[in-house]
Amino acid sequence: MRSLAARHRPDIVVRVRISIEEDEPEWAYELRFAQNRQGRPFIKKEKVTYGDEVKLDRPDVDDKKDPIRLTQTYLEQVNANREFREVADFFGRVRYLHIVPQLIREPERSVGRTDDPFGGDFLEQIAGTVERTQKARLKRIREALEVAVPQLKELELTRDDNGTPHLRGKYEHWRPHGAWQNEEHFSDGTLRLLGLLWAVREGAGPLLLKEPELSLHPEVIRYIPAMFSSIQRGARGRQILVSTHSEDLLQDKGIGLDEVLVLEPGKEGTVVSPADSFKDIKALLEGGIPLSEVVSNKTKPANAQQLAIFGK
Amino acid sequence: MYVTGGKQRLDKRLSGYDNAAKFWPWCVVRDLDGNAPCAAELVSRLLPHPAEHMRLRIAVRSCEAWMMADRERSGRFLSIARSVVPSSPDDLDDAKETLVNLARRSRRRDVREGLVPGERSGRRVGPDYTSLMIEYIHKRWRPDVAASSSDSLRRCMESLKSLAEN
Repeated sequence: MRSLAARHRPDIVVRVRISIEEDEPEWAYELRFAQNRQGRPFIKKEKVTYGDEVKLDRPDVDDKKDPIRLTQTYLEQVNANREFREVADFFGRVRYLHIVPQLIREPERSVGRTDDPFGGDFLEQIAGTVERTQKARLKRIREALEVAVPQLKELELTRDDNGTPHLRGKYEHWRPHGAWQNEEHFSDGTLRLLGLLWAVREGAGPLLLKEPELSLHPEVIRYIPAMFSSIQRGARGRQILVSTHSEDLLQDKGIGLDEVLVLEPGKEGTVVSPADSFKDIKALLEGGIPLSEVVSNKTKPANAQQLAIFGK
Repeated sequence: MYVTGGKQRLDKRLSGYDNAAKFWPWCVVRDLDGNAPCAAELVSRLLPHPAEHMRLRIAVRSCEAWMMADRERSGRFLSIARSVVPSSPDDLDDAKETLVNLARRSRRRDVREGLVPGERSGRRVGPDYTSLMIEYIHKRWRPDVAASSSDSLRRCMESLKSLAEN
């Protein structure tokens, strides 16, 4: 594993600044690693600071005497991270959910995984939630889903004879008692939206979402930011980080330029810049051009039209 | 319901909607331009020969004016004194800005933080604007009460009624 953009030292560096309480010092965690000649990763630097205080700075004396220690971070070891447990706990609270509908329909594809970000054990996670919470949340999710799937009248979790959990949905139908279907028959969009609605209410740490717009109708997508902000109201607010290609997602007029990061791939690697650092973006916005259009034009591949002649 | 974003886009599509209005009733609602003198003049300029079932309504200045026209409910929703809500929202130059400024005075933190844009956001409205406005319209706003304070809303509602009756 190495940084392709680097000329001399292809180390990977990860730096995270965490502000847990508003009026308390910031934590900073830095990890720099590379791979040795056998292709195994080793740590070149691990540093933790709390404000001006340095809590950890490796390699330390013990690391230099015993280099094998550099194959493990102090962060991941409970007895080594005591001085900065808050940082470890913070990372532990980060959630990533990217439902792959096929994995929910056929959980055998991802046997044995727990906390699978792709949804392999999503139904087990719902089943494992305290019943009162589970029922309340599914009720609210059904009410929200009704927007996109108006015929869905009920939603519940059941277990079959093998103990395997299933999500059942009752669809309004000419049959007076409706028709029950389980997750095998839900559409991709329904499953992804369901996953999204569950994920935003589960946990309180930062939530990472990859292209939440997939399989959804543009009219549904454009209200996702408003759904996020209504969830984030008040003390229970959590940070939500979203990657997207969708113009519809960026239509909401409340999305701040300081909330949008523009990723521009180049020969020297991808450059990440906040949208408010581009003077032309601000000017276009003030001139009445929608943010979605501005950002889409800024990030579009230069010669996408070449795709059209692929067949020739 | 056909939603298109922005006045310029809407104007380009007007003849298309007008074409469809040969078959089905259409009511098109558009904000008045900031610098146009009056609604009637704008209507006749945009659609000089409208189809039979077409109704082009101008929301004078902006839709936020219609929302504030129910003074009691908007005051309560924003958690501000009702007397502070303007009594003739149709006369406002920039109803959106007025609404945001009212929100600055709200007793409720989630209203202040949701409706007022952050300094670095570069936007005219806050992050929770869409959600709060939709909540207000669905749960609090009374169009018939609002119509008594907003002539443009009253005329739009009458226009819809006439379309429905014919």
